[in-house]
This record gives sequence, C-alpha cells and structure tokens, in this order.
Amino acid sequence: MEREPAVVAVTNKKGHKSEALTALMGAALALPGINAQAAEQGYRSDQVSFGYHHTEYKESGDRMSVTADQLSITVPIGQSLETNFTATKDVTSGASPVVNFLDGEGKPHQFLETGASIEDQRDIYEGTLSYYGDGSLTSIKLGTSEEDDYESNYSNISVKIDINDKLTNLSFGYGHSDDKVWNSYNPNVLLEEPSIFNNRRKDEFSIGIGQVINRDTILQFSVTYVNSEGFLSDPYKKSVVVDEALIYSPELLHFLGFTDVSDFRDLDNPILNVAGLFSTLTDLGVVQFLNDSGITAALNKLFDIPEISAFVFGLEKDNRPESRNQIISLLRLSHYFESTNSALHADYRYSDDDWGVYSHTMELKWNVGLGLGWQVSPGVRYYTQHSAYFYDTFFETIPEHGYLTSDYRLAGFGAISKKLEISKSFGRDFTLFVHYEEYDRRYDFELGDQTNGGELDDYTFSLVSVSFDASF
Amino acid sequence: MPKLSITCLTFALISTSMLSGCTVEKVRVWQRGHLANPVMTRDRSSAQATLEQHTYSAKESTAGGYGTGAGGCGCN
Repeated sequence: MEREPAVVAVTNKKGHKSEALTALMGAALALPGINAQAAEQGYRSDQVSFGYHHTEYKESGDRMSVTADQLSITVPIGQSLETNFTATKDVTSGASPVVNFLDGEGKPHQFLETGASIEDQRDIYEGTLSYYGDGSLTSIKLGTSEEDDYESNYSNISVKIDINDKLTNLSFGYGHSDDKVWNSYNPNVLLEEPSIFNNRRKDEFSIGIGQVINRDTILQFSVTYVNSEGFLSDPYKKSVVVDEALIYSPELLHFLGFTDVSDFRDLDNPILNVAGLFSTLTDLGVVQFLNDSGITAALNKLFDIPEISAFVFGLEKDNRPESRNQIISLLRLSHYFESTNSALHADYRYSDDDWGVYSHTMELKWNVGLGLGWQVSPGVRYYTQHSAYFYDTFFETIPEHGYLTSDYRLAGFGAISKKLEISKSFGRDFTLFVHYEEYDRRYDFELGDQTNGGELDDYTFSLVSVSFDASF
Repeated sequence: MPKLSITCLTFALISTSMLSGCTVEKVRVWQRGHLANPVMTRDRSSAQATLEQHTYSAKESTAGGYGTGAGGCGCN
C-alpha cells in the first residue's frame, strides 16, 4: 500500500510549497479562533484558489430539508496579505414544530403544521482579509446574512502568535453580530400572527493555546465567552399552559355537567383531545385546504386567531430571558500513528450558561491516508445537554419568573452522529471531497439523569456534502 | 460566577502545564515529519467544517467554541 510521504519537503520548482510543507505549517498553525480557511491551510498560498460546496440536508418525517451551495475564492495580495470572499445560499423547506398540544390524558404531542410549509432562503456573503506576519496571523472578517425573517451583520478579528520555536501558539479572537429578527407573517397560515420586529446582538471573546507535545501529538485548548442580549425568543414557537386554557378550566367542566371533575385529565374525553384533533385535521388535509383555499386568510381578517387560540387552548408565546452568557471550553488532541499512516483527532467540548443549559460534546475522527491522494475519515460524535430552566414540553401554569419555552432545542436530550468522509487529491491543485452523516437525536440519550424533555422531539437527519477545490 | 472561575482556573492550569515543558518534548524542525502529514490536518474541507458547526448550532443549544466568527440565523 502506497502511503503519503511523511517528510518535510521543500519548495518545488514552481516556487510553491509542497503538500507536506503545507500540512506542516497547517499543523503548527491550525488553532481555534483563527479564520477557518487560513487555519486549515496554515500558510499563505501564492495561488488563486476556488472552492465549490454543495450540501443536501434532510430530517426525518415531514420535517425540514435544506439545500446549500457555496462558492469561495481566495486571492493573495502582495507578499503578506490574502483576501477571501465567500457566497452561500441555502434554501429550507418543510415544516418545523410549532407547539405541543395535549391529548385527552394530558400527554403532549408535537404539532407540525405541515399545511404551512416553510420556504425560506438564506443568503450569506463574507469577506476576509488576512495578514501573515513573521510568526503571526491576523484576520478580519465582515459578513452579512439575510433571510425572509432574519438579518445578521457580523464581524470578527482573530490573532494567532507563534512562540517557543513554533511549538506553541497563542490565539485571541473577538466577534460581534447585530441581528434583526421577525416572523414572516403569512395570513394564509393557521396560528401565525402579525410580524414583530426585534433586535439581538452577540459578542464573543476567545483565547486559545496550542502545543506540540511530541513528534506525533498536538494539544489545543481554548475558552470562549459568549454574551447575547436582546430578543432571544423564537417568534414562531408557542407553549401550552393548562391554567390559561378555557377548554381545561374546571369552571367550564362544571358548566358542562362534570361537577365531580376538577382536572380534564380525569375525564379522558375525546372532545378534549386537542392533539388528536389537530393531528386528524392535518392528516386529512383540512389544515392544508384551509390555508390553500384562502379560508385561513379570511378567518385571519375576521378574527384575531392567535388571541382566540391563546384563550381557548392556552397557547402562550415563546418567552426567554433577554440576556444569555455562555462559557465554552474546547480541548483537542491530534495524534499520528505511523503504522497505519493515520491520525486520530479527539475533541471534548464543555459548555455552561445562565439558562441552565450545560452540555458535553465528544468527537472522534480518524483520518487515514491511503496513498495516491486518497484519504478516508470515519468519525463519531456524541452531544448531550441539560434542559433550560424555563423549558418544558407544556406547562401547568406560567412560571413565577415568567419565562417559558417548548422549543425542542432547549430540552434535555442526547444525539449521536456517525460520519464518513472520503477525499481525493489530484496533484496539489484539485481536491474532491465527499461527506456523509447520520444524526440521531433522542431524549433517552441524555447523559446522567434525564431532564425536561420527551420522546416527542426525537428525530434524525442525514447530510450529504460534496466539495471541489481548485488552485491556479 | 464560580463556574467561570473554574473554567479560568482550568485554562490556567492546562496552559501552564503546556508551557512549562515538563511533559513536552522539544521537537526540532527536522523532527516534525509526522506532524506535517496531511492526515494531521483535522478537516480537509474548511467549508464542510464550517457547515457542520452551523448545522449543529441550529439544532442544539450550545453553539460555537471553535473560533469566533459566524452570524446568527433564524433557523427553526
């Protein structure tokens, strides 16, 4: 079996750095907090390079699918500068969970308004200017991202400094984003409400250190602090609050003749099975018909449906604190195995925040060089998080602090990903890359004691990506 | 914020031990061949690495930690 040469080669006759030297510098320079492309490449190429990336993402059931395309160009300027411009377009379609309705026994069921399919396009433009100094790399990035219901303008600066004969690297980063968020109100959609316009901003600070431990091992460690302020709620999502629902009120039950019942769950009456009702209406295509025929639009003109649904079914808007502080620690170890010409990359990430969400992420990736430019990389990732203190699948009453959400992303859960990457380099100037991933999120995958959440939010997704990079 | 203090302390300890050289081999330039092997570059496609993190950040509560930079999104 032919293997990649594990030697430090020198500049070739065209004046370009060899692949091995590129990788050497990349290994020495690739640190957290640095512009991804510069960090991965680790040196300033004297060639113009283009990249094209295509991704297909598909969730299980009737949930969302995303198609993304990205074009990138990197151009060297003078002796020390490099600029990169990247344009990305992704199109999302499908349905997203809106609320968890209760059945007659009081058990929550996720409601996907499939008759109101999402169709959203996101356009992202980023420009990066990098300066390669003597033993340092400084990058400044400006970016903008626009969707039908979201706009983000962001910037960041990162600095990496080599010390200790390039055996140690220190990195510092700062990022800022100003975002506008609203819901793209569609009167043809049931349960949607008029747009609200809000702002949020985010500031990130990171510091990192990388160290060559021995001839085969590199260790990296970084800490990132993230502060988010403003409207951090989801304008589309709602929660059921039993005490706020007319249909669950003891007074109504008594009025209907159930004088000896104070809780609707004791009745298990099919009339009070709201989850079953909406599920049936969706499955039969009634919701789709109402939306498509314009009846929903007409009803929205005549009545304040969000207000009525809140009163009757106890639907409350997603409401989160207007501040969030996160601390994220990342430890990365890379070790080379000569016997198999491979490298094991092991990551551990720990995050904690003042929303009560702490998480662990563990990832293993095994890069195996097969020779002739081929590389295969199987990998596995495990993620687990504790639920936010204001999360539940539904609420008996509005909590004293006033915050509540049933967004599945703030629930307690775990997720396992299986990945496989295959790449092939044609000489030094062309690389083809294929990535496949299966992601399985489950409530009972959570590490330790299970926190608020439920199997109703379990789902899977698969992702296929193809990349092509060329240098001239 | 005690957890912040613990994080800072952990960072200081790991950084100090990494810099102290007590467990670190003084690897000369000509001894860095294995570190130079292409397989030691964790992500062969930076675009893929960025997209992966964006996907996770849209589906999980924890986002980032791999470097500052990305803007927000209205992902559902």
